[in-house]
Amino acid sequence: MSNNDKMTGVQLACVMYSTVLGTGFITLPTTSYQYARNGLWLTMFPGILTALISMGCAVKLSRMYPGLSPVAYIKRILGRIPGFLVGLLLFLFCLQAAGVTVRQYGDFVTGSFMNRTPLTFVIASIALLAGIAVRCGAGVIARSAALLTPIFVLPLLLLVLLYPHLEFRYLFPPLERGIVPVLKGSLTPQAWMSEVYLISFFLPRLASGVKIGRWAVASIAAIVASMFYVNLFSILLLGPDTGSKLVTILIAFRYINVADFFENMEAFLLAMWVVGNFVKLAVFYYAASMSCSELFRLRDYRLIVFPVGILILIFSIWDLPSFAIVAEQNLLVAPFWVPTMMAVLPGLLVIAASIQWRRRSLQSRPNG
Amino acid sequence: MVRYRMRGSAKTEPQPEPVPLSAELARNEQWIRSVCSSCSDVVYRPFKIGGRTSALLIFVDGLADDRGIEDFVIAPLMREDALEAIGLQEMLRQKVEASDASELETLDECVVRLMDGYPILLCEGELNALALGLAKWEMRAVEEPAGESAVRGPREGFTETLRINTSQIRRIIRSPKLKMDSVRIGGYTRTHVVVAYIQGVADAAIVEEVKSRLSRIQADGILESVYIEEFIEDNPYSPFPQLLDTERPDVVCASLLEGRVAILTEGSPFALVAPITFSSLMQAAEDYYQRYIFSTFIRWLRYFFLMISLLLPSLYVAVLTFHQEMVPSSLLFSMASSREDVPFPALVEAILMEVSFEALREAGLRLPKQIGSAVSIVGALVVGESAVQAGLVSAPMVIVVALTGIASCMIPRYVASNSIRMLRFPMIFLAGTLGLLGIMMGIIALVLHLSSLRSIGLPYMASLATPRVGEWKDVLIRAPWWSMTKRPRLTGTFDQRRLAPGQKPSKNRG
Repeated sequence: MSNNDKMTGVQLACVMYSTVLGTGFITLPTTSYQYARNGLWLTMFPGILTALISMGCAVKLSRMYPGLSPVAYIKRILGRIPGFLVGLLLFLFCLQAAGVTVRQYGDFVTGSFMNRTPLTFVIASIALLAGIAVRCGAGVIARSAALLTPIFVLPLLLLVLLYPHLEFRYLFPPLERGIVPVLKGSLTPQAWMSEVYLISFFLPRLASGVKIGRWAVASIAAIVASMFYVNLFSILLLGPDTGSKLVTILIAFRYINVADFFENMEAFLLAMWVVGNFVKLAVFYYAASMSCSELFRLRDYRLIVFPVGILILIFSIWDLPSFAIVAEQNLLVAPFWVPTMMAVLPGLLVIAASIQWRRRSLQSRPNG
Repeated sequence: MVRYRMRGSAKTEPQPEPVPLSAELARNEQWIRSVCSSCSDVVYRPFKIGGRTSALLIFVDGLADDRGIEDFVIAPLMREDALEAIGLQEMLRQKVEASDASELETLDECVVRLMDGYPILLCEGELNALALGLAKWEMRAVEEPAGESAVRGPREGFTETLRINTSQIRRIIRSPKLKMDSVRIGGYTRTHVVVAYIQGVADAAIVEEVKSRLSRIQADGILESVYIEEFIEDNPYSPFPQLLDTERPDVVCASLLEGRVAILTEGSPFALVAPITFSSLMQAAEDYYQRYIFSTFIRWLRYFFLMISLLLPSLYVAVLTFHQEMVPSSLLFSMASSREDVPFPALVEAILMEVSFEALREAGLRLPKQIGSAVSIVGALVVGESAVQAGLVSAPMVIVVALTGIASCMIPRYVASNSIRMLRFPMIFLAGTLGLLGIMMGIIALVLHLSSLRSIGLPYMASLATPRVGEWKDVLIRAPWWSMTKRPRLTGTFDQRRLAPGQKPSKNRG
């Protein structure tokens, strides 16, 4: 009865959606606004390209090496020692990215709500939950993502209630400084969107007959649409103020007041977003644990889940002394570092693998 | 210690060579008498067949049909005089007017059948004994199921007698494809357990899995189907029921038609159904017997109140303790004024009230009916009212607790509502310490647990977490019958189609 552990297309899409937007809603509008200004609403679109490359590479590689997770096929493609080194790099990347994810979540929670709760406690508690999820396996992460993603998305609908406060003049003049600021502003979002490559850790568990391509495109479209929607509302509501807010949606939710009953919904928003952060963290955590176990050829990755969790906690605090550094990291480091690992590396792998395949098929042909 | 001894005794259960029947009646009688010594309810009735051959009829008083024994066995045999002509075997076959008579060869078998209630007939000079199908005992009549009442729909419920229960199912599904495999479980009780399923509809792997799990049980006794449930469930540490228990034959039949397996236990009016999903627990029998639009509405209400039942007290505590800004100002003022005299923090107040509500509920359930109403009056009215007046708890908290109590009754399965009610307490603690964040943590933990749970191999959240449009026809909505053309997908291969498509009625179809 193991076929029940297989993921379905919807679960795949939910995992991808939360992986990108778990912290995306928190970080992206403010970061992108630094460059794009009132072109903020456009910044999501260039990212589609990166997302498609990452996604395409993930799907292509999983078709070439069915049933293998990334580190396993990296070893297969690059050979033992180079494969080990690149795999180690991927493992470290997952650790570091999980650390940054959980740090962003922790800063968001302690900065906006639980001012007196120690950051370590907030981080450790969600990491513990994610660790339990990872130990339960990919199937459980996928199922819980499918159950939790609606909770994560629903509050966005409440933004519609802001309608009376929206100022359309903030959109004008469109592209006043040309396309370049928008492209600069789209660097961070495209970095976030390249994270869809992490789905390749889940692809070996996909049920047979699922049309991956369709669900991948659907989830990328959903990601772009929600981010567009959120960016649009941020700019329409806050205008030039957007850049000075830490979490724009949070501010937006404070404006909501309907029927003197729905007001000050930001705590509600916090609660909903915990869920998205959890899924994102669980995905990175799973990727880190899986790549570690593949790297060192462990029989059961469950053994190292909690040790990896402690490493993630270390990465979340180490070298990130303050919120300002995290923001700077998002603005200056992540746009280049994340796509390198999540789009460029898979692209190179695809090229290397297809050269290998061609050579092998030439060799296997009897008379050249 | 007790458990160790039980396991030990189950393992070392004496399995000596079966003792064959002797041709001497006296030796057989002596053996049985020694095994059944001090069993005052075993009756030995010696008589002579045709006035010559001695015979002995042994039965358990109260388990055998006394009149039947006299009229159909002893009387015809005593009258018989053609013994020499046809021989004993043939004569017994002709003259004993019992619906079922099986021949036994060993004394051990005789004792086993005797304890099942079959009268045993032993004859001088015979190496075989007869077990007569004349078992009969006092049993409860078929009544309306107390725990699952419905306004519309069949009113029959299961009883403690297994054969009545299986006949009720057979009366609904009159097909030889309905299989009922029986097993005996329990060293001393030797409880009859029947595994029912429809061949070709139920996944053979599930049936095999259920049977193999049943065959693994080694216990001294099975008194209720819960014993079996706890032995065969997938995760013994979960607060959630992983098998559905029902006392309605129609619910069992509906589950069988969906490809599930039912387990019926002698002595328990509750049948177990497996595998189930979480949404099975939110479906009441009556959903299918009233108009589907209303049923859908009720189902949505049920899911909503499930959330209320789990979360309302903790939300109240979280909002009062951490997120006062979320409450609209006017409401906040009235809440604050009602809490002015209350000496406790909201967390303590909530725990206090919820615990006393649970105590009241349990007391009302266990007390004799005559004083049950007194408890509810004293508990609910006097204590509740005076607690508010004395300023120990605030009126909004009483409202919250009462609403939660009602909400938990919205869950059609009593066992499921128990687990939700219990989970309320950790939720209240989380809310009191971490506010909404804590509640969300609790929800995530709960979702994780539910996603990892399985019922006989089927993921517990299968229909909700693996959304397929076709399957939501019976989860979030109750689709009309003519549109439910497919069975829910459980595990493995199964017969998908359950009714012919295109049966939607309309005035044009005449």
